[in-house]
Amino acid sequence: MSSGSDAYRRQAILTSGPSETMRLCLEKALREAIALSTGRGGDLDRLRKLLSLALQGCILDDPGPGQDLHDLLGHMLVRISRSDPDALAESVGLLSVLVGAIRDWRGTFSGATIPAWDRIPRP
Amino acid sequence: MGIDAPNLQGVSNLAQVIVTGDHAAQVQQNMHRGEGQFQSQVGMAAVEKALRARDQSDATDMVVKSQEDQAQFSTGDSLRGGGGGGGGSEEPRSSSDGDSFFEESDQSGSIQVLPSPFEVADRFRSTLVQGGRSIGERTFRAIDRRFLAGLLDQPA
Repeated sequence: MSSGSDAYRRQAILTSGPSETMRLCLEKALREAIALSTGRGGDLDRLRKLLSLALQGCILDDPGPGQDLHDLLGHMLVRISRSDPDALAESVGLLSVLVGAIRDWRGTFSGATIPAWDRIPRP
Repeated sequence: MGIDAPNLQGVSNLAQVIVTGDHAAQVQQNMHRGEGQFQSQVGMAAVEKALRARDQSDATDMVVKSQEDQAQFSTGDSLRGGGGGGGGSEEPRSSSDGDSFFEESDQSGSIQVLPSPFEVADRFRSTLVQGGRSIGERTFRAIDRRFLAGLLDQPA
């Protein structure tokens, strides 16, 4: 990854809105989960930290997306922490749905697509 | 008349006396060191015992921390120093949820295994789109971007 795009990514993390930060966090967690489930590296502790960070970032209003996301992230954390056999594979599926949902929502209401250089680099 | 002392006339005897003296000094030093270590261990044990007793009686925050340590996972234990459970932003779950969900050992009950997580994920997608433009900013406003920046900067 070039230094220019890396600088852009750092700046985007520190200046973007909460939904964008959540998307970045979940995408990074998805990459870690994919790497772990396929045996191509990955860091289980970092995955747990990312899930925990996203979980703490949810505002628990009355039944709504915040509560649902909180429940899902808690579900993944518990299963991963217990080393359930299919926990990582299930997390990959769930995180894919979550990231896709936030991307769709972002594309629908902000009218902007996510540029290629704003994606989390491969580990 | 016999002299009850080492023979200091010969060089070899003198060297032997010096070596013997050094050896005796080392043995004595090791004995003191061993005693010192033992005493420090006893002291540490006493301090630890006193802290444990205090932990169970006075300091309620330390008791909560101990309970978190016994849980299989506590939210934020690695990110926020064992602050636990997302601070004040959590709400107690209703009792009806506890009937169908597996309750985690965490006393807050906020983290649990869902019976059908993909249904919840679909619901999340639909409610997010229905919520409009501002719901994402409101729902995720508690996320700490500095932690994320730190996690992304860690080498893979």
